[in-house]
Amino acid sequence: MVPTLVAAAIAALLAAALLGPAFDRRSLGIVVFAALVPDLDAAVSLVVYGATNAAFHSFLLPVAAAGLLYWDTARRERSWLAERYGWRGIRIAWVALAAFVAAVALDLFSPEGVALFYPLHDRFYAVTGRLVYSTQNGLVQTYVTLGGENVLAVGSPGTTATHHVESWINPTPGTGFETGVERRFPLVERGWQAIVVIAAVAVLAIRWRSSDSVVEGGDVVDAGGVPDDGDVAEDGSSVAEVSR
Amino acid sequence: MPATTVHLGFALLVAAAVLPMERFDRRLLAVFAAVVVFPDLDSIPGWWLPGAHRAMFHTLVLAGVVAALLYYDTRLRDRSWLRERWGSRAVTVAWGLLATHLLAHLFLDWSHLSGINLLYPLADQFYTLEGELVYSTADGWIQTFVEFGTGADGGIDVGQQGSTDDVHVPTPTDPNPGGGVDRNVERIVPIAVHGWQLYLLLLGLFTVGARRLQTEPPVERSE
Repeated sequence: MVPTLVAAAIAALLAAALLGPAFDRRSLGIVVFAALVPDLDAAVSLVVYGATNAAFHSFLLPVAAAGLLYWDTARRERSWLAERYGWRGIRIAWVALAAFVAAVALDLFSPEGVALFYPLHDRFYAVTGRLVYSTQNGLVQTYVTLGGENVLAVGSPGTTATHHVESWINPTPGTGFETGVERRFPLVERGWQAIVVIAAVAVLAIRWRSSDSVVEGGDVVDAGGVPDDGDVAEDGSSVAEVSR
Repeated sequence: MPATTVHLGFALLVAAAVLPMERFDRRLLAVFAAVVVFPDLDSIPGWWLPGAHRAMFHTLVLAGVVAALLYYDTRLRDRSWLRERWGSRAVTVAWGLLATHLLAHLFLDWSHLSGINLLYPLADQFYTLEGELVYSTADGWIQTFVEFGTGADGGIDVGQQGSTDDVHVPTPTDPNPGGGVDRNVERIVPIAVHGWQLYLLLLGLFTVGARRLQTEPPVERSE
């Protein structure tokens, strides 16, 4: 899977871009946490064979969550979320959902792929390829294949039985916690991922500097609400230092 | 380069994140697009000046000069030209777009193919940022962005690529090194290559789409 730190960085950028007035450390923590949830299915894979990039990467989860959120906030006479947490709660819920989907999509657009319809349909999908215009070949697109026996098909690296996605929790195919194997905990695997992380840290630093100088209270809250996760804590603390 | 379209996508995300209160109306989007597209226009002087693409406008020197001018105009002068002409909103937007230019254009190109000529024309040398940062239970911390003792002269390797004399990054307007306009050559206009470039492109479009669809927060209606 794409390193979880990259998903956290993407979520931080989305939070900064979409939360609007609801942006503070607590809401940032919630949104970043939502982007970490998909990768927790690596722990499920210790029990369920091949669950990495499948169990919590299934699109059924965000679709169900979006349906529920829409029903509660738009269709019911009295929304539970709005009564409990107000406008901010609704905004944070939608942005957290977007961050979850963005984290799943990050893996979907990588060669390792995602089992999109797990557990209804056990197959990994990976959207890789290129879209270019060539003066000799015209528009060339290899992300999806159109026509053929399937109307629309993307590449597939296999099923949960044949395709194992390596993670530091479960580095080898199969269930059960193994000892004596090498575990790799990647923070950044490619140059562009480093740039995404740098961009997220820089954007948060800019946002906190400007909010410190403009807003008097209300925007900067205690950092106690940030979930105690390695990635978030790293981002949060470094940003806090910059902003002081 | 990652295609200009990929820069546009990632830049939309970064710009939306650094400019949280701006409305992405047509005027802002036009200025934004100009800022994102501008650096890639250095492929045109590549017809006469071999190696100009990713050097001439992709340099930190130019960004530094712009930042210094902006600082001088908005902070040091008694009367800021920018503020008087376009209002104080323009000052925020200008700084935000400068940050976007650095993060979403220069840095992204830095991590791609032959990288960028970071300090052109002060020092004519392309640099590429490529590597990984991993903790392994067998080998401990591994980072390959900066390598010691493996460079060409046994020194530090931070991805040096050579100068404008020997680095040519192909573009649709200038596919082959050597300059001049060659008519009978395949020109490839990339829109996205690899999954992640399409991802960044779609993510940027989603972000600005969501920003435009979002409802205005109620002025006073909390709880």
